[in-house]
Amino acid sequence: MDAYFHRQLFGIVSALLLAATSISRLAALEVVADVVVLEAQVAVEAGNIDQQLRAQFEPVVKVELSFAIRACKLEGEDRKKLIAAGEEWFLQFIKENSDINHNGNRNRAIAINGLVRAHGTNISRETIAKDIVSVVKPILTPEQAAVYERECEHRENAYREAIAATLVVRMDEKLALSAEQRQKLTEAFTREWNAKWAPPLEIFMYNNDMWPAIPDKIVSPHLTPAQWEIWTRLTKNSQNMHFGGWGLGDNAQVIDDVEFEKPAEQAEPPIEGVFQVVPAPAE
Amino acid sequence: MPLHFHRSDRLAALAVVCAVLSFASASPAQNQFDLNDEMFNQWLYGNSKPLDVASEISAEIEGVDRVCSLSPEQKAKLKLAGRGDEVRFSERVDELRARLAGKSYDQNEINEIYLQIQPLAQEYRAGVLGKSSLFYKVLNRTLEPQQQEVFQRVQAERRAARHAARIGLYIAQLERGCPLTHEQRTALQELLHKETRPASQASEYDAYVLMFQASKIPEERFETFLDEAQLRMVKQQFQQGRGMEQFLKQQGLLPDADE
Repeated sequence: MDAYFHRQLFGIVSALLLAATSISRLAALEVVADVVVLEAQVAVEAGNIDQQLRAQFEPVVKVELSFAIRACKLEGEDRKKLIAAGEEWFLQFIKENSDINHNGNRNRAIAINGLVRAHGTNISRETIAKDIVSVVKPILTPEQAAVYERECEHRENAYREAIAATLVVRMDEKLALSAEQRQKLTEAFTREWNAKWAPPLEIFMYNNDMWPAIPDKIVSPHLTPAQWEIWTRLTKNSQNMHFGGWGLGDNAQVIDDVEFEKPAEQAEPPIEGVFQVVPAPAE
Repeated sequence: MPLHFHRSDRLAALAVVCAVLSFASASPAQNQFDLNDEMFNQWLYGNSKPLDVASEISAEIEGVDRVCSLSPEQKAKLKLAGRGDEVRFSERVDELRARLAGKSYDQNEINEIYLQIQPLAQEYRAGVLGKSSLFYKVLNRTLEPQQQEVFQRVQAERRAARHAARIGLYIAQLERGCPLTHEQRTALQELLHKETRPASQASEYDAYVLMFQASKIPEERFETFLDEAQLRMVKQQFQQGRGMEQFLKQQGLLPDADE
């Protein structure tokens, strides 16, 4: 029965992977990297959930703490205090989410060259960043808190601008936009930004053929009928998934200047050999 | 240009086999896979909708017309060339469809069938009116010198916009693991803008083209605004770009000397 179940599950994953191929095919004539999004009911051993949560989110928490330390130039005891508060919050976060994840969420993953590279999650990086803000702020002086807030704002704006500009450039490749159209679309995407349609950064890093489901009313006023026709024919998909880690590639490197008292145990990767992202040289 | 199948194609084909195998096992009597028109389109175009080059031609001509003010004759020539590309492509699709679609395949054959569709699918994704198209050749021959000048300038602006977006995206990605302050982000952005150039053509390797060029910037330039931990991370990333040099050269993706 178990073998039958696993075989069926494997089949469903494969079929979804195939369907998702429509979402995401790389454009070069000599394709050497292939990115797909697949969706599956991910079965996780109960005992591994804590470890996987730690492995997935600890880097995010450390980066956020490191960001706060840099923004406010914290040193000595203040720095230690902040890291300790962050770690305490993180342990609680794992406990709470471990219970939720025992129910077996429906997850998405990005696969590159057929190998799962990043697992989607219901928890966004932005959610964690916001929670960390509430951990950090009480430790800061009012002046430091103001600086920190400004830095968060700058970072958020830079992120949105980067995603909006990338979207417009990719649209330009398909639709031959004018300079004015590029400008208006960039403004519209930044102004109307919404996490419901805004694509995650990870999608853009290695995939040139995935399109977010941006509401028509944001796009249509800026396109000609011919461009609109092309746009509507592109396969869109809603990107309401998050990649709780740190983005694809680069072997998940994160800054190494924040250490927790209780470091994460080495968690088993969900699928063997997942860290294969650099495209193979042409044969 | 010869088309090669790489590991990705083989793995995707493997996924096809996995799916077929599993569904076959779900219905033992039906150990065959039917490749209907819809699935054929899915594999070829990435969706189930049929080819629509007409809109692509209109949008391309519109785009050129906006900056070069094309004469009716020039438009007609371009339209004809675009139609030529469409017909050439459609004929190949029809031939392949007639050969492959509407038939049943067993689990051993389906892998091969998928790989047979991929070369055309890759061409479609690259754009039927791409650089090797008749449309593009006619465009180059049809434009008057003055129009050509304007067209090239606008193309350069588009490449510059793409490069600026790539830098922004690269920094956003870097910040996933390496936090930067506003001042550092701005300094890095400025340095990359100043010292790197757009890739010769858009591709999924734009990030590597950028990282390769960044790896050539003297380290001292980064030391002025990054701390030690940040430098370690940035250097690791640039190392990856450096490792891609040969590949990027082979693919002709590094910036043109006169860009």
